[in-house]
Amino acid sequence: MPIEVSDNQLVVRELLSVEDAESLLDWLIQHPRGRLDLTDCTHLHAANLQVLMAARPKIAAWPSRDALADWLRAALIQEDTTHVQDDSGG
Amino acid sequence: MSALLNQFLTEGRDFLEAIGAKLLELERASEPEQGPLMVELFRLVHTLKGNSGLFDIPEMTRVLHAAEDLMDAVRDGRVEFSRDLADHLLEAMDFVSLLIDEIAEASGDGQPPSTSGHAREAVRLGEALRGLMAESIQTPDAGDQPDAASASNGADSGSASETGGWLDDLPESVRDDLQNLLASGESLCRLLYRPEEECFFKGEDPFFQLTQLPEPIWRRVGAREDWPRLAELDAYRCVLEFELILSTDVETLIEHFRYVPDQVEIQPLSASMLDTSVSTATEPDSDESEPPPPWAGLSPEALESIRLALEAQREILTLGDSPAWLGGRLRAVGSTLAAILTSLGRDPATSGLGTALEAALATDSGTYLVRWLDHQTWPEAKPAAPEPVRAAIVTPAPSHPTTTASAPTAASTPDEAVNEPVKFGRRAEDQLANLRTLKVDQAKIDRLMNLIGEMVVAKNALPYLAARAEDLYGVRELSREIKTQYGVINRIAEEMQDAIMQVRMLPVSFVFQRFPRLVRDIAHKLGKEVRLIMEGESTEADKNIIESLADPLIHIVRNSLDHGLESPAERRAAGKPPEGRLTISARQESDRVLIEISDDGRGIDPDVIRRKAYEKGIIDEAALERLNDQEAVNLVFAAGFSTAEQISDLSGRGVGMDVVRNAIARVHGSIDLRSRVGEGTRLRLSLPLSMAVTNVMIIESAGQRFGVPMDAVAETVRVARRDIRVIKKRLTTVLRGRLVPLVALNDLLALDAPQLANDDDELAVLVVRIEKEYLGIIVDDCRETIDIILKPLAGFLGDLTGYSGSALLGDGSVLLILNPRELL
Repeated sequence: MPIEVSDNQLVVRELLSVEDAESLLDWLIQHPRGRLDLTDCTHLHAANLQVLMAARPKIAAWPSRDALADWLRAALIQEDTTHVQDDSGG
Repeated sequence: MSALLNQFLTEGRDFLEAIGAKLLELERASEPEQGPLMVELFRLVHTLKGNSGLFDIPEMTRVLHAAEDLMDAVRDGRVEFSRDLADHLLEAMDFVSLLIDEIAEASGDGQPPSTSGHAREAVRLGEALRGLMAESIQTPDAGDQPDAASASNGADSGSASETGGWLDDLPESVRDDLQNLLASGESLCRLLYRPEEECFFKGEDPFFQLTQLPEPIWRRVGAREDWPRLAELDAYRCVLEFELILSTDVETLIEHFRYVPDQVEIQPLSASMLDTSVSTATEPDSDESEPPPPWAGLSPEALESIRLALEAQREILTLGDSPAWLGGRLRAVGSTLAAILTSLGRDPATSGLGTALEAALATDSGTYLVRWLDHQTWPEAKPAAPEPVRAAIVTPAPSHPTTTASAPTAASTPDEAVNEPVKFGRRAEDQLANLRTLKVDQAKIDRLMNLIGEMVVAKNALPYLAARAEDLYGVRELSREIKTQYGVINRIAEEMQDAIMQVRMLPVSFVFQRFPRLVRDIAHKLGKEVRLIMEGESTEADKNIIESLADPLIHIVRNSLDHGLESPAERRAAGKPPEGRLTISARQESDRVLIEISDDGRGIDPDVIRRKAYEKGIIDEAALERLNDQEAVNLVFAAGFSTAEQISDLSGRGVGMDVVRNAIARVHGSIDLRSRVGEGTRLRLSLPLSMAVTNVMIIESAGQRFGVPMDAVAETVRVARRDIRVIKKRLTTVLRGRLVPLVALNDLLALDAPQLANDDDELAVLVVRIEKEYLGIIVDDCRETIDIILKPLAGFLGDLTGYSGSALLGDGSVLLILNPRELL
């Protein structure tokens, strides 16, 4: 399990696989104010991305890998306009 | 090319042929007959799809998958079988056949070549097939609705609501950047990727797919629907949606997303698109530059075909001649262009096309239309398709009724006369030319074998003829000429024989291939760790030999695993690595195939064998003392010998190594066992390459001729009658310091005649070797050796085990072949 929990903070190590999405979701449900430390995260499966996008937790630290950090920022820090537009597409 | 791929290609062609035949049969069949045919057809398509999944050919699998779904619906009566449906299925099968041919031509390294060039065609065919299904089902059930269809629906609705403003959505700075990049010659693409909902269950990671792409210039990660409350979120239903602008060309993206072509929209960006969107701000009323290009919603393949159609029109207009039908030609171009405008979502009436056409007709020249063409904004022309094949496939085939979601492609080429597409539709004509592999009934090969056998016999008659010419008619010259001729025919016959033998050759991998699984399972069951090493799987031998090997080999391997190799703990205690090694190797040595099975197990202890054999009454006390270690080890081949302490369900069921030895002996093979206590055991099987031709020695006894297989003959000697002694009522002689028991052939065959000696009162003795024992058979005379085709005795004669068969001689007489092993 590449997830470590300390108090209200989840530290993600290396890779979050598709199986981890379930536990990530559980943790986020139980810790609505939980913070995420993604410094050591190298990749996360799209299912995890989806969970993060739905939960919008506080990110304590972005991944140290720039490429991944850019992607996550694009996914998690968005203006609401894009959101409104999505409703019509679904 | 790997054997597996080769087999797939061969089988694939067979399947395609069968599918085609079944489809044609279905068309003719009456209603009640259709049911079973339909089931059969489904099975064929299903198997072919499954097989294609073994290789990296997503295009083929995609089309076959769609065909399978359609067939499933037809089989269940959800969709009615129609001629139209058969046409589509045949077209899909032609596409698969094209892919197979392409793979067969290109394959060199065992991996099928990339067929991504056909991705668009595959999507088109797949959608066409699924379209047929959706059409017939009035109320499409969400569960049944295939993903491709739903995805394309999603794309349609999405483009309707979104293409209107996606360019405007971009921040000003991004737009500037894009413009600069385009100006500097970069090719940019917009990518819209909507992974299907179940994609996580297919092992896909859409996000990973994207991170493998070069860093995008702009990106947006969204969702197809509002996020529910966390507690209700289904983490494994993918609702993500990605939108990117990348500095890549379309081809790379198509290749990258070749597994999910129906979930992506790829659109090349052009400067004009950005220009127009900028210019909209200033003059919003301009007719020809509506803010979003109206064709933004079209799929890349539609745009590509429009581009091709436009090119064709331009070409027609610039033709230099002015035939009498120029007016008709111009009108044809005019209506084609109007249709293109319609499919691009523009109104032909307001485009000025009509005026241009009138002007062109009035002046009898295409100039006005060309000028009109030049002044319109068309979808960005992509780099010309690299290879002609590709272009041919990208062109939609308008001859097929397109009833599907990809309707715009059909609309783009209404005028077939001017834009003759390259058809690859019916490949029935060119298919026959490139068949590489024949599947032949074994009976036919056997017949060839028999014929060449007769040929060999007939050829053997020539030396007799030569002898007669010389002896009887005294024509020496003729005799010599016949012999020369015989030499030529002999060579050809031998080559023919060799060629036919090659046809019957099979690689030993035919038998070996099941060992990895067998060894794994047995080792697991026994709690042993075993590494299997196989060598020389490509060694070939006659089909009969290979087939006869299967059971003995399995038995030997089982024995090795059960008795030979120790458990990891025992091995460690003996100072060996815990993992045992089992090596199975095959190689050819002159005209024999050698198969070695060796392990590094505990080996066979000769003392244990001696004791066991004595306990079981296989050997007497005297033999117990006399046998050396090697001879003792060989006792495991004795009938009724089994060493296992406990009878396991693997080996040691009483059918021991004697069965193995007999099975090998039946195909004229021999078996050799070597073992060292604590170091391992090695079994070596030596088998003939082929059983087709047998080399026999002809012997004479009581005025009759017999043949003895040469592989049994050790030597022929003349033994003086006085050297033969009777020991324990048996005739015996001493040959090179070795005691050799003798038997008279006439006694064995119950021929009532004494054996004849020659003038020096010496008897002819044929020394045969049976399981390392030498035995002399007294005959009247030994003659030449010849090659014969051994025919087993048929009918009630077949029970005479003393004879292994008969053969026809060159002079027409029948030669009975003795089987020394059974005779003695």
